[in-house]
Amino acid sequence: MTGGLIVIEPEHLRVAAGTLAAIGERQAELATRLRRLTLPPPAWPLTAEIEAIAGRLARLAGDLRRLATELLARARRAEESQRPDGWMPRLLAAAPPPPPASQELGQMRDRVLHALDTAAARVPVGELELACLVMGMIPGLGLPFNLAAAAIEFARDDPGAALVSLAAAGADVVGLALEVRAVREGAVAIEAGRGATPAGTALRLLRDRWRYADLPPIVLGETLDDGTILIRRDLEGKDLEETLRHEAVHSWLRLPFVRVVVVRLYRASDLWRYAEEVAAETYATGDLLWSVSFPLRGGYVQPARVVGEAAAAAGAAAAGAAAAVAVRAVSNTHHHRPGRGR
Amino acid sequence: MPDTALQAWLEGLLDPLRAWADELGTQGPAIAGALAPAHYRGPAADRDRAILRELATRTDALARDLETVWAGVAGLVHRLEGRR
Repeated sequence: MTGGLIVIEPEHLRVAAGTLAAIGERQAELATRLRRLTLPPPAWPLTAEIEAIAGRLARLAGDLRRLATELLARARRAEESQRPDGWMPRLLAAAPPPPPASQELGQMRDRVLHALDTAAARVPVGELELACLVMGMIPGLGLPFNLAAAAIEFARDDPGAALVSLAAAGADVVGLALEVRAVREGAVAIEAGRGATPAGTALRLLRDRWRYADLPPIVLGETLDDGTILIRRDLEGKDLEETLRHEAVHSWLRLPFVRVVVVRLYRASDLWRYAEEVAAETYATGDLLWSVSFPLRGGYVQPARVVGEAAAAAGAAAAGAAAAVAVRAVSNTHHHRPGRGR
Repeated sequence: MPDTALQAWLEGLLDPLRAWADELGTQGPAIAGALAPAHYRGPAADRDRAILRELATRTDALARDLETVWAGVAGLVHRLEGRR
């Protein structure tokens, strides 16, 4: 139903709450010990000072324990509302309508997307897969075609072939990440606090595809299966910018032709979900090291399954490399697809 | 209380007071950084981190106050030594 949630990790809140509660307990204990100190008459001025410190320490301990309790409650609420079964975000009635020019642009875009969807539905799947495989060999443009090929192959229950296409797409992702970084640094401008509007060539696609929505407290943004982005209504500034960037990657991957299969892949494959979340978070934060662990910390994937799928992909990629050489060798003489199997 | 007994009693206070002041000194950074490792964004996160900074500041101030008390006790001990 949805892809690309940005969540607060309940586990981190719980750990922080534990730390604060332990410090609070210790401070309360210190306050009690200080109060028990009764200095003899020559030290009475110090007694008053110690009494005052003990009082402030006891209040501080209370504040720490209250904050710890609040964080624990928030962690519980976060867990309860994270990826709830059957939950569907409700669009805010108060969301501002887009300006007229934007509306026309949006209608035109919807017509084009509808036409593309219709055209995609009429193309035979086998031919579409072959076309994607061929187009996937074009340097610099191969990523969407390799992803589409992987998705089609996955959809027709051929995971081996799908993993080969995924491996090919992986190499394309590196190049895409570099381009995306350049776009981020050079072309993105967010007007914080006024209903931000991303600018720049690559992000114009995004302009009419996001709305404010009534999301659960822990969710900053999410992308629906049709690529529509929902942003929590009180987001602004840097948080809005990062969340929009994150969700933009999910949205771009849900453009026509590839949408149906990408959504299925996101749900079914931990490796895919991991790669998509890493790409999205890298684009959002510009921090690759952080992003590599983001899907694990956020509970998007099970590490063991990612490792298992990656190992299978590595094995398949080795076989696929030989197959790709064979494809190039025979492509001048006939149009069969050696090596992938149907 | 005789001066010698008072002096011994105050001397016995010095180590615990120093240890408590040191302990509070280490708690300040721990409180301020409690939410640092979490990828936790948004208005609530900013608010929580501001609260933690304020609590850490109060803890640091109390650590300094305890050090002041320790210095006062040490001064008393010194004066009692001089009187004898």
